[in-house]
Formats: sequence, structure tokens, C-alpha cells
Amino acid sequence: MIDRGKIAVLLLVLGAGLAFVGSFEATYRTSYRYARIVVANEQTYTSTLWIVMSEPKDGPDRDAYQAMGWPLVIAAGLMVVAAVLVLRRQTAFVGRPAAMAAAGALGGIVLAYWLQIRHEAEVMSAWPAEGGPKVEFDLLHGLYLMAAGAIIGLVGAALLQRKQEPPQEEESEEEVVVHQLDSDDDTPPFGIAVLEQEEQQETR
Amino acid sequence: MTTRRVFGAVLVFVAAGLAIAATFLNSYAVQVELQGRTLRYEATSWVTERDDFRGALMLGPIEFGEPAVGAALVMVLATVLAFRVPAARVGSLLGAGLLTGAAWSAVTSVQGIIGKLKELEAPVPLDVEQGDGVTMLIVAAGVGVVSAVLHQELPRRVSEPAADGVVIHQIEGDESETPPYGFPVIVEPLEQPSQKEEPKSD
Repeated sequence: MIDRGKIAVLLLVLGAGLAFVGSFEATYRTSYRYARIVVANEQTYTSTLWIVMSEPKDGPDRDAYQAMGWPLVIAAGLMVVAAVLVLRRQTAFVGRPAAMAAAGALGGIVLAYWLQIRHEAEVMSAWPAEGGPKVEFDLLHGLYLMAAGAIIGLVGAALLQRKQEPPQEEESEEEVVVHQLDSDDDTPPFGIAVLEQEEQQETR
Repeated sequence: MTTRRVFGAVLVFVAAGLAIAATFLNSYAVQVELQGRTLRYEATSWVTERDDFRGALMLGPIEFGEPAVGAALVMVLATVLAFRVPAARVGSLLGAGLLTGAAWSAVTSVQGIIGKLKELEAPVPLDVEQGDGVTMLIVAAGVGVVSAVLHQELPRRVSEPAADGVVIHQIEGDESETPPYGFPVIVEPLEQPSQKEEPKSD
């Protein structure tokens, strides 16, 4: 059976991995639909934590407005470093609080990002320009991956904070083990028979 | 509770107060000088305070208010709880981490707004400045991390038994009076072996 510490380390690494992968996936998409008499034209912008891609292409990919890729990758990297520190007994006392701080930072970054793009969606929806495009806003799987990574990381960091039970090997070494045999006639408890009868005979 | 941890707990409260105050200060401002007039946009993390552009630039507040207040609450609750339950101390680190994440996101958002306004290629220069709110949030995050680390329990030093470490002080000078082990060896006169084997009584 895997102990709680190892499960926590696995959760930290899994959370960091999900957040890292999620940062490169599409997090939200904004679609502008221009209603025309003959044809319907649509322009979409899909954003990751690093860049914004347009479809159809209206130029090279540009930096995302909420370019939180580096903060997220650094927080996820700190989580992995903390997990490695926890694995070694000498550095575990640093790893446990570091894991909690890194998981908190990752959570804060993802939460702030989610709130920011939610606000952006509100701004877009309140932009009904007369005769202008119809705007649609969709959250995509990259955001859910990052959110899952942050939550899993926080669970892993919380699991690490439980006190480990002290190892019981030392106790077993110090314990005295007593084996008792069925017949005790031959060997007395302390190993040496007391020669009472012989001494009595000699004195007589 | 040690002085270090009490100092850490006090600093946690200071960091939480700074973080909450930061959400009510200006987070950023955009300014344009146009025909002798100054058009300005200002926003805290909650609301737009002033918008002379009437929404033309599609600007809005940087949303760090909720994460910052949430982080401050976590830090304060963990610190108060830690007076009774020492294990709750780690909550102050969680709050400090959240606050750092929120502060970093706020700085990134300001950079994003600068980039967004550059893309507009406006005929007049748009000046974007980071507000006191974001600066104070960065300070709060820094104080929060330091205070949360101070607030933690350091591992206990395993003290070695004194018997193992024998300290020897050697005094320069005349050592003839005191021998190395402190007690002079009493040299008794040797007895004759014949006397020793004599019977005590007949």
C-alpha cells in the first residue's frame, strides 16, 4: 500500500503537469460574427496563456493580453521542486511548507486569470454596437486543465501537512523478545541451574 | 510561542491589511493629452473610477480584488487559528502564496493593457501607468511571504547528549599541582607480600 506522503507527492507532480499542459492549450475563444446581406463573415481569436491565434489569420500570432504563462510555469515548477524536497528526509521540512506556498501561488494565478477573462466576457457581452458584429465568448479546455491542476496541487500540499507517524523500527530493535517453550524442566529461567541438592549433600 | 513566530503573526496581519487596502487604490491609469485637454481613465480593482473616453478604449478594472481579499482572509484566519491549533500555521503560507499569485497576475495584466493599447496605434500617445494599488499589492505579497515563513515552526534541533562531547580546557602554566583527571593518584607505599598473606587469627 502506498503511504500518504507518496500519494501527496504524486498529486503535486500531477497538478503541476496538468497546469503546465493547460497553459499551452486554448483557454478561451472570442468570436465576432459580422452579419452581411450575402455572406456571413466570422473572425475568431483563440487565446492561450502565451499567445493569441486568429482564424482566419489576420497576421502573426501575438502575445496574449493575459500572458500569465511564465508565472504559472514557475509556480508549477516550484511545486515539483517542493515534491522532490519532500522525498528526501533531510529536506522534507522545507518541502512541506514550500509545497503549500507554491500550490497557493498556482491557485492564485489560475483564480486571477479566470476572474480576468470572466470580466472580459462581461465587457464583450455589453458591447452591442449598432450594426456591429455579434460577439460570442467560450471558455475552453485549457482553463479547466489549469483549474484541475491547481485543485489537485492544493489537495496534494494539504495531504503533505499531516504529521508522519514515527518509524517503529527502533522500537522493535530495543524490545526484548521472550520465547517460552512448552517444557521448562531442563533449563531454568536464567539459564543456570541452582545446585542446591548437591551442596546440601556435601555439607552432610 | 517564540518571539519570531509572534513577530511573524503580527506581520501577517500587516500584509493582510496592505492587501485589502491595495484593492481600493488605483490599479492603473491611462492618460491622453489631446488639444490641451487631459483625458484619463482610472480604475481600482473593483470599479472604474474615471473614464473620460466613455468606453471607447474598452478598458476595465484588473480583477485582483477577490483573490487578494480571499488571500488576506486565509492568512488572518490561519494566524488567529494557529494560536489554538498550531497546525493551522501553514494556512498563512497558503494565503501568502495566493497573494503572490494575484499580485503577479495584476502586474501581468498591466503589461497586457500596455500591449493592447500599443496595438491600437493611436495618433496620440497613450500613457499607461501602474497605480499605487498594484505597487502596494506587490509589497503586501512580499511582506506576506516573509511573515508566513517567520510564522512557521522550524524543525527541532536534536541536542546531542552532553556526555558524548567532552570539552577539555587546558590552562597554560604550571600543571604540577593538578593532574589531568583532577584527582591526584594516591601512591601508597608497597606492602611486603609476606605481611599480606599472614592469617588474621588462629
